[in-house]
Amino acid sequence: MNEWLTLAWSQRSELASATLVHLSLVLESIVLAILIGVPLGVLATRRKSAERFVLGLANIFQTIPSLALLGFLLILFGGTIGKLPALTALVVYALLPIIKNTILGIQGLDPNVAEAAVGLGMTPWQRLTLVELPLAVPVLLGGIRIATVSAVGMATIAASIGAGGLGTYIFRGVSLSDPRLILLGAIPAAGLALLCDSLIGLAERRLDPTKGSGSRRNRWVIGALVIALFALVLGENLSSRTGPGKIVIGSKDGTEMILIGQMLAELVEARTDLKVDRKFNLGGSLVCYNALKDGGLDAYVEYTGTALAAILKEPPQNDPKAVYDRVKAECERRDGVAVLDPLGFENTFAIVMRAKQARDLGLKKISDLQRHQGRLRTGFGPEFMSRADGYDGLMKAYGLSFTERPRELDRNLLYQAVAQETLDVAAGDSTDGRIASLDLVVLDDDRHYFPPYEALVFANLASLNRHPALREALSLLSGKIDADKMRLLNYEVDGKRREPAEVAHEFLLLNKFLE
Amino acid sequence: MVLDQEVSKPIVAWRDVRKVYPSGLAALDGVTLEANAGEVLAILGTSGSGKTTLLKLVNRLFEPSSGTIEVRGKPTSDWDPIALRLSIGYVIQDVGLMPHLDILANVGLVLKLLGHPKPDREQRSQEVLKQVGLEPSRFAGLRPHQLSGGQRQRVGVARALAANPDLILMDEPFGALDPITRREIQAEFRDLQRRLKTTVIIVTHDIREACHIADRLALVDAGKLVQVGRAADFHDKPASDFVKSFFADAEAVVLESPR
Ligand SMILES: Nc1ncnc2c1ncn2[C@@H]1O[C@H](COP(=O)(O)OP(=O)(O)OP(=O)(O)O)[C@@H](O)[C@H]1O
Ligand SMILES: [Mg+2]
Repeated sequence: MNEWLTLAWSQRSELASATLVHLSLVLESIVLAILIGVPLGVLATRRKSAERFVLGLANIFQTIPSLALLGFLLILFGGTIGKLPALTALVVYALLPIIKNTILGIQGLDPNVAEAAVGLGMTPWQRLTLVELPLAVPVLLGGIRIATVSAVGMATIAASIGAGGLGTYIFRGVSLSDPRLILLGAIPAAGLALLCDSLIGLAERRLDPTKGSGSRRNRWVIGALVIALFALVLGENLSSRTGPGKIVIGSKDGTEMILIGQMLAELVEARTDLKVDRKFNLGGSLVCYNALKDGGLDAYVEYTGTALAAILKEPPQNDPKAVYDRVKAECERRDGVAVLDPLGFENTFAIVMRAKQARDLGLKKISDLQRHQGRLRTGFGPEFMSRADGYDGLMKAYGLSFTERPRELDRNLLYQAVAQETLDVAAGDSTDGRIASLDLVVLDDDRHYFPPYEALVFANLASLNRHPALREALSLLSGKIDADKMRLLNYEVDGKRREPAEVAHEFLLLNKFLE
Repeated sequence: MVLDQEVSKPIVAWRDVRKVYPSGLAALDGVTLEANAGEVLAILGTSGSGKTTLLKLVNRLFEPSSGTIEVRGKPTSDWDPIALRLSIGYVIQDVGLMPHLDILANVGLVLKLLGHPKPDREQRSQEVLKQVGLEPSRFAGLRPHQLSGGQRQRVGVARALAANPDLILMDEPFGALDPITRREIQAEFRDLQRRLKTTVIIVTHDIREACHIADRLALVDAGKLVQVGRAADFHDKPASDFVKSFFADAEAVVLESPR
């Protein structure tokens, strides 16, 4: 507990700005949802057919799983990562409660009041603005409250597409298997949700337009509060504007990619006069690659084998040099993506087990698994399950067929699952520090099934051409990190729970990349 | 404006009006009736006989199925509905005050719709509040839920009077009052009407009320007009047994009635 508070304190300024980003994401999406949802709700009360259509659409939106929606929006926005798709997703989810309560509020109008409004001679617009909407305010606020509270939760997922916010800590925590980091994101998020809930709840009660005197003062107080919030959001937006000299370094989910991402960011800051924006823990290869193509990212760490299969969608090959040449040529030609020289280590898929179980069963090589396939419980990440060079190929190459269906779970959870004996065999990354820290072993790929996965830096070609110093800085690490070094660095973070930024900085100092 | 009108010229005229609701029910079945400028016309009848329907045809809350209704000599179908309603005071059966506005703003609502500036509205609203017997200094700032049912009905009347219309439609305006207060406000209203010479069409099923404040009565039954005339006519020459029985318990009132 104490240790966690120390961590939280050491992160205070980063945490504060993440909270601010989170809050502004939520507020902006709610304001947009109100601007869209209230008119739609009003429209729905005017025509029965419009009500069916609007509510039906909002209901369908609500049922789309959030990750699927984010993925879909990423494609829709042509790979733009960051705020735009995240904001869109949040707006889509916030619409239903706002539309619904607008309709409820207007339809709940006392029929006598409605008759008086018409009978006294109000135009439809006057009826709406002088009677229906003011009286719907408490019900509408109820909808806004529901929408806001769930947007606070939903916005954590936005971190996976680089929109930042408190989710950054949660994703980092999951990828580093560090519950302290998860809590660092989750606790402020929960606090924010509670705060929004009670503040809007208060407004709901105080702004009841039928409750007479004193409401003028309440309106002032709440108006001032709203203005203060928007000043905050505006300030956040102005400060986070990406200027012309700003470089965005990203990374997929995973310790070593974040570590090298940090190193690259620091090197660029030290060796050029460019400013760097760090967008780590992005969803996966396609998110990063599309963002790179699009200019939303300037550099991230990728692997040759992954690029061949997931990006170029070509069948696996076994010759590292051939794979590298192919990836370099195709990515540059097709997408304007520069492929820099390999960093010096390979991160292949590794089939891992508990060291003790492997010893007990006498297992050393993947082909040894054949003898035990009836008893072993397996688990793989979604990427491994769906890739040509993943699960199906592995089964074929080694003539395996496990009796029990493999479990599919986030690949960051696989190591823990094996260590805690929920699983026996899983596919991990060969350089993962947790292999050592959790006392796991890697089974030998004796039939050379896994294609080469050399780590290297992918960069936006146009940015490199614009800033020659950037190419130089991003190339500094080429050939300088071998697999042993990488595993040690990973262990510093995964095993010893140190901050990636700190470990990266230390490495750069020790190896004289920085003075 | 009322003074300029010739007393004989009808300000509202229903001509062979039928109203059939989508349910197939004929709420009005060939009604022809006139309300003359400056008079109080009471529409009487049992519950469900079509009184409210008759009233709502005047300010186009309903449209007739056949026949025409003329207001100030012009068929309602030729009136812009908003302009028509703004020119007519309307007191609805269940008051329908705006719960989010204070009493002063409720009374001044039609003036606001007509575009009168705020100071004028407030001054005029205070005036009419006094006229219906509500002290502005006490009631102006309250919300409708802070008033009693009878006080709310007075506010409803004040709201209809505020823009000084030449025609007021009232649908059971004093329903929520106890008999004593009811008599009081009826008398006050009658005095007020005489001074202003406003045409008033008042719906009621209370025969005593009708006799107290109306110049002429119109009795409807099951969508048909049964008899029109002065209170005494109903007593002297009842058109049917139904009229007789409807008036039976009001004998005394009719006799002591001022006209
Ligand atoms: N909007 C409507 N749709 C269908 N039927 C209606 C509608 N309004 C009234 N009616 C029916 O028309 C008939 C006359 O209704 P109306 O409201 O005019 O009666 P009323 O004389 O005012 O009765 P009360 O004294 O109870 O107010 C009733 O039978 C009623 O059920
Ligand atoms: Mg009625």
